[in-house]
Amino acid sequence: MGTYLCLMKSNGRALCVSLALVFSGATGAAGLIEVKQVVYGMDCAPCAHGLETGLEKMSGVKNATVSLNDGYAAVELNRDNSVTLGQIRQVVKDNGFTPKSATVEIFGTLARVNNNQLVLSTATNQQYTLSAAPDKQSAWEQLQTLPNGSSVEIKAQVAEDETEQLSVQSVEAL
Amino acid sequence: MYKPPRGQLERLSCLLALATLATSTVQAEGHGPAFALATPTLGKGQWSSDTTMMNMATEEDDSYLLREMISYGVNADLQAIISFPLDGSDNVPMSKPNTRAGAMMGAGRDIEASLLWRFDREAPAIGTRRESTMIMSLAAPTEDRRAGTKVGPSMHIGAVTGFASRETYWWLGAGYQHYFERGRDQLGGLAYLSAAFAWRPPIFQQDYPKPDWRIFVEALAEHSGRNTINGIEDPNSGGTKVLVGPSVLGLTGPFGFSAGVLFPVRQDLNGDQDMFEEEYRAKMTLTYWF
Repeated sequence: MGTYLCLMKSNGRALCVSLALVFSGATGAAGLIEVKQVVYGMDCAPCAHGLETGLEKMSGVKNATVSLNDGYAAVELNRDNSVTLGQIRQVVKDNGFTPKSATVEIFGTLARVNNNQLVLSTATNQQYTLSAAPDKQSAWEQLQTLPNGSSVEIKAQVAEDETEQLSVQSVEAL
Repeated sequence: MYKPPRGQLERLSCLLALATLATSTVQAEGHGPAFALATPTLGKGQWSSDTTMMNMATEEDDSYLLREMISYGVNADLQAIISFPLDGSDNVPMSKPNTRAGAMMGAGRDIEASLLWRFDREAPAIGTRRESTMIMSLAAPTEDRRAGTKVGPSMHIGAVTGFASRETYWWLGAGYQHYFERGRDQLGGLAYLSAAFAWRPPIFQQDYPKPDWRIFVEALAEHSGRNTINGIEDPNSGGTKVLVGPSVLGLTGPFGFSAGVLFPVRQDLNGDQDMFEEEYRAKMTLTYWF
């Protein structure tokens, strides 16, 4: 861990990613594990069928389910996927609907960058900036106690116009 | 009007039976109202097939039309459509006055290519959408004459705006089909207005992939101009019709089924066309999404 911190100071984000690859190799997880994407404008069975089919065609997607009444698409991903939230939202848009906020479950390694900002890096070189969800202070405090390089599984909210800013709702240190 | 021979009626009956069987044993899916303009959604790269049978009944005649429509989603807001007749008969159904086999699907025995452009859409809430679409089509006839008039290619343009939700739907649309002159003949242009209101009963508001059915009330007003034959207007052609009626749409999985019937509430046909006054107009469509 000492070597990790030392290199972090000299090389910043790039090193974070390389270590994330090592950590994720140990667990077999790449990044996003589950996504629950809120969808507006979807009213009928063909809409749901088209979206579900489109999501299931994505490489790395294990399973997709769509709810018309609750307005969401739930996507379960394979352990070795390289899917991003942006790609999932693009499929929603390609089907003619409007993606809103999303809840994600994501695996990665923790690091602190400029001004002690917490970031989560995944094995597929994705980086997410972490912040506290308004009503989930205990999760945020738990996250603060973990050292750099910790492998964590985070459940977080992602706003409609963001793809790399996670509001942390719960944390599980692995 | 065209009266189908016995063999053809049997074939259509078989198709009807097959369609009924199919929809009772597999999941169903589809687009919207049976007759009126709507704003169908098709995702980028998706295909759909609509097979339609339409029947127009007058006091003396029944005419049938069987058409296929293939749609492709170029992107979320642009669809390319081609529709063509499946019936190989030389006779000409749905011919006098001019009409279309449903607003989205070409006229008579035309092969029609269309582009649907959803130029405005808004999704204010879960399960709710407001949108407006333009449709532009070019059509070429497969027969030489229609209603005794040489038939040329035509151009169709329409616009529709609507609202979709889990409980109710409505669409208001208008369109015009212009026929180009062929020789010294020309079919009269067709202008139409359409309206559709739909309600999905609570029992069918269960979540996907459970069956999704809705009930429509549709209205269609058509005004056909007079045909021109050898440069002279045919006084016994053209006129105005207003039709209203119910339809139903069933959706689930990759299949859809819709059926409806319109009854005339007003018919003002030019000249001596009493025999062409409609008693009803029925339509059934099977949809498959690739």
